[in-house]
Amino acid sequence: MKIDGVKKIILLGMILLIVAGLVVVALKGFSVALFYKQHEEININVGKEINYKDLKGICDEVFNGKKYEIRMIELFSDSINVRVENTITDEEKNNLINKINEKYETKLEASTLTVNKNANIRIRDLIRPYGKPVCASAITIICYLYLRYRKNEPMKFLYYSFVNIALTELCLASIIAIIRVPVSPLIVNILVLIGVIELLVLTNKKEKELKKA
Amino acid sequence: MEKNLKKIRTIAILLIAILVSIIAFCGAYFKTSGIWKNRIPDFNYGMELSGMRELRFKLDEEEVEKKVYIDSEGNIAGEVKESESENPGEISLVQDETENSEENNNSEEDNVPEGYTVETRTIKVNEDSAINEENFEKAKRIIQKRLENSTYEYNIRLDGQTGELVIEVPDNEDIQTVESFVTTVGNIQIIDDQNGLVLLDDSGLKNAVATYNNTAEKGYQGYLILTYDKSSAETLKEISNKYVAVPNENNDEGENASESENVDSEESAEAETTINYISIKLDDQTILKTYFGQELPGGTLQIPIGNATTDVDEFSEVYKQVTQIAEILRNESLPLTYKLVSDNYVQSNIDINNNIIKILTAITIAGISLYFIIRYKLNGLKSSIIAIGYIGLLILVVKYTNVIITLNALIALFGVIIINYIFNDKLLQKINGGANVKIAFIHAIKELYFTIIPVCIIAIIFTFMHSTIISSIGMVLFWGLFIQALYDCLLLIVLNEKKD
Repeated sequence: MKIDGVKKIILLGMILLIVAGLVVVALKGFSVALFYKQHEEININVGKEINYKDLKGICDEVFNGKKYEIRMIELFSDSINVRVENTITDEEKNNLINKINEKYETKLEASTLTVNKNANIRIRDLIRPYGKPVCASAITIICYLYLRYRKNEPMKFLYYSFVNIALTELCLASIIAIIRVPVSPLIVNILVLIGVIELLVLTNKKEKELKKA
Repeated sequence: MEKNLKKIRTIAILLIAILVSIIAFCGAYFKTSGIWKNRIPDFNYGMELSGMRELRFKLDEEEVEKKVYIDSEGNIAGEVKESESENPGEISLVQDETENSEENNNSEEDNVPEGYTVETRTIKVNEDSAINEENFEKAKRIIQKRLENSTYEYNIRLDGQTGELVIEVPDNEDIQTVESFVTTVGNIQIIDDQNGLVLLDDSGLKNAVATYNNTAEKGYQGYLILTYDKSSAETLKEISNKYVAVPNENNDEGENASESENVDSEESAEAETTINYISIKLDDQTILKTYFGQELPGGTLQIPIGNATTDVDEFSEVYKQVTQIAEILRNESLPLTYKLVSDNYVQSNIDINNNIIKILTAITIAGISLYFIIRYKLNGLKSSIIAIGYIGLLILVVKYTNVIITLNALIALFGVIIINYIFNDKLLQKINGGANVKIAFIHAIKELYFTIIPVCIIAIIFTFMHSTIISSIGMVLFWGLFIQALYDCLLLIVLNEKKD
């Protein structure tokens, strides 16, 4: 297969991007969304209806610069679950409770609240359910494509598709690693979707070739 | 005349598409008891979108002092059963099938089965030697298997230092089932009910299956069928020969009772015979006390669970429990015992009903429709209405078929809608190029379906997977592609109005 000048430059750019991505992953790993990595959480029953924006303002002040996530607990919007990157220090816990007491005129005591450690959800546990269906689908699709294009260099098409999809996925993964996009199952699914779309585009192109032939 | 009929047909199809869209996007409201209520069901959201139950489990640290039998190798072979007589501390053991109750007064040493000694030991629910990372991982793996075989959507977090487990499951799941999958160790034992000695443990258990029987007189009865390996089957055979009802010497009328009949129904037989009972225990909880009526040579034990009932709802609850027990027993037993310490409902941080999301979706659909109208004029307008109708019908089908909408399923939904718009665009391009509508349609449809066969393969394979996050993708793709085929036909009728 001949590669012309522009394509050569694009290919070189892609390879450089992948190398850069690999270096970032080797040194710092992927940035994982807070919910999926190890964090600490505290559940606070305020007893009064909580305004999310007010609480966000309080948490911004207390956890200065740290990643955090606020979720409501139960159905009455009077209890919250605050998840914070790494650890919640005693000082942060006290500040949080004091500020909530000030804002909502409550008498919560920091000593009665427990900080729980939440271990990370392992990437392999997230990927686990995909193993069987993705393998089964891939094998079936390869068999179909081989049979469909059996008279038009099927192996070449399969190889070309594989290289294209792999390059695209690796480039996207590198971008995600370099610009520190927090990885979550949603990101993994978007990557899978892009792979499927690319396969459809390649198949469509091949169908047109077949039609012309 | 024919042309007018075609026009009416086209208008009718377009009106139906608009109606379906209105129902899907706005709902169908009917007045019930003076209140306007939407009769269209809501989406069935997955836990990322609807919130989750966060169950926190810690290792059970309880320790109890117990009198236990110790075998010649120093292993615990059962708990000494305390006498049910008026003297709570007294130990009653049955050594012989015809043993008289007077012998209960014998000393503790005399009552100990041959080959065993009795010791008082402090037994920890989780032995110190068992608390290690290897067992934490093993327990996690077994719990995952139990959950996955029951089609749960879940997240699991394991603290490698403390062994603490956090399991996040959707709020609509049966939380008690999830809890029992974690807190039930899964040790099933056959115990001599007279003295508490373990006769058969689960080391030789090969399989466990839930089944039921339905008879006209008694109704439904759930059964747990346990199958043992060769060596355990031999032990089971011996047990089934020993633990039977033996007629008293002065009573010739005694007859063997049928296998595994409940104790309650055997009160009269008890008076006429001496019965050697066995207890079947799951994690120290007795699930059945019974005796055998015939030899069990095949290594299969059929255990009735609950009482026979004609009430279908009552039975389905019992059967659910039997299935749950079978699921637990089919996998290995847990190396550690966990207890639930907290259970919170944590709301999702994604507000799917957010107005911004709704407005953005509406703007996107309006933008695409506008593009079609500007580019393809009247045909563009018709195909846009049909495409919006497609989205509406897809939403209704997904709601009525109870497909669980996860974030993955939303991506799949987005994908099939895009495929539909691409098809419309290709078809209209061909028609604009001057092709006959029918020929253009056949060409476009051939091109589309040969291209999307890989997606069809994914849809079929994913639909049949256990995991909710996978099957939801498959189901959305399946319904999306199925409805598209129907809508393509409508599109042909609508566009074929003039040029036929």
